[in-house]
Order: sequence, then structure tokens, then C-alpha cells
Amino acid sequence: MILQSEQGDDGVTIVRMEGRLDLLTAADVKRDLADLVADGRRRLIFDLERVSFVDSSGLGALISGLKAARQAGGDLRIARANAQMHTLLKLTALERVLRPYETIEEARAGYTSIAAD
Amino acid sequence: MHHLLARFWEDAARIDCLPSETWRHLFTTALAEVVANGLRHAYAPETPERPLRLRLRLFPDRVEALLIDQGEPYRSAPCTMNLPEDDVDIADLPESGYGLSIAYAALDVVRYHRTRGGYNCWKLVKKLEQKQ
Repeated sequence: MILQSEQGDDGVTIVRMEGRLDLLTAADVKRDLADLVADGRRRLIFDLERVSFVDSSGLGALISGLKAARQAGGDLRIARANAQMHTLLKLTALERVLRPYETIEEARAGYTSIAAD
Repeated sequence: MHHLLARFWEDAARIDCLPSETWRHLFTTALAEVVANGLRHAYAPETPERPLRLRLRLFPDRVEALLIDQGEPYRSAPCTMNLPEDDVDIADLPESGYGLSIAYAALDVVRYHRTRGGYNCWKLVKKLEQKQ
């Protein structure tokens, strides 16, 4: 697994990685996210604090994870994205779909509306 | 590419010509897409070596990047895909194909040309912000 994950008491899983989320790592991230959702972790927060750079392949992996989570009745949210990721979201007009939350707490707050299992 | 760019920005800073952080994010994000596009389309995935030359040049009014590879000619005419609308259904959202749209959105010039010698050349230009 390229991703580290940690499930809180509220059932929300925080997912972390370090480095670049780009064409070299995207396929692994996509697979890991699919595995997590298949494992029943359908409420995910992807913490981007230690991700230095994201390209369109990385964005594709996040969209793939978002789709999988939504299909399972959950969601995937991104938090603590850096300025480059914000630029990428603006350029692709995907910030409405993959809304960047400033903090983990903000991302987590919205999850109370999605019932836990 | 990231190391090369880091050195390039260091040099630019040394002569007091470092573009703003936002400008650099736009340029780097776009450049990464065209490089990735070249690696993906020009060479078969099993190709052991996929040489790609990148030259960056700083002008008083712009930054130019020239990317050259010896792979297969780029077939599809450079075009942009439609970016998602407001009411997009998540299930229909594409997971790939954003690359060149990003480059077109972030840069002033994105030009492809195949040389007679069998090289793919991508020329990218982004104008610098006018200093106040």
C-alpha cells in the first residue's frame, strides 16, 4: 500500500500519502482507494498535507476513489491541499466536484450528515 | 523535470526574474502534463528507455519550454476536452484526458510539430506578468 489509512471512532477514514501524486503513483493510489472502499471504508478524507505535487493522473485517481466511495453510499473529501493542487482544480474546473477543505476538521464536520454503518 | 525546474527558478531568482508563485504553479502543472503526455503517447509502455529532452528558456517577457522526444508521432490533433459542467453526474466524470486541456488553459502557446528527422517537438510559452 502506498497510502496510510487510519479509521476514527466516527468511522471516517483519514488517508495519507507522501510525495507526488502523479503518473508514477496514481495507479497505486487508485488501487488502494478501491481496496479501502471494498473493505467497507466508504467515508474517506484524503489528507494532502504531505503531497507536494498532483498532476492529472493523480486527479484521475482521486476521481476514481470519489466514484467508488459515492457508489458505496459514502464520499471522498480532500483536505489540506497545497496551492499547486488548488491551481490544478481551478484549471480543470473540478473544485466543485472535489471540494478542497482547509482542515481535516472541516472535512470531517460534513460527514456527520452521512450516517455511519 | 521537478529538479530541472527547481534549478531554473533558482537561476531566475538570482537575476531577480522569478515569476510569482501562482505563475510558477500554472507553468509547472501545465509542463508536467505535456511531459506525461509525451511519455505516454510517444513510447510503448515496455520501452526500456524513453528519452525526452526538455529545454527551458527565460526571456524578458516570457518563459519557453521545448520538449523533444524520438517516439511515435503524436496522432490526434491537439484539442481540448470539454471541462465538466455545473450539473455533472459524478459517475460520468472522466478519470483521464485532462492533460492537454490543462496545458491550454495555463499557457499562452502550446504547439506541436513533427520534424522531418523524426522528432516530436512541443513548444510551450507562457508570458510573464508585467512588473508593476
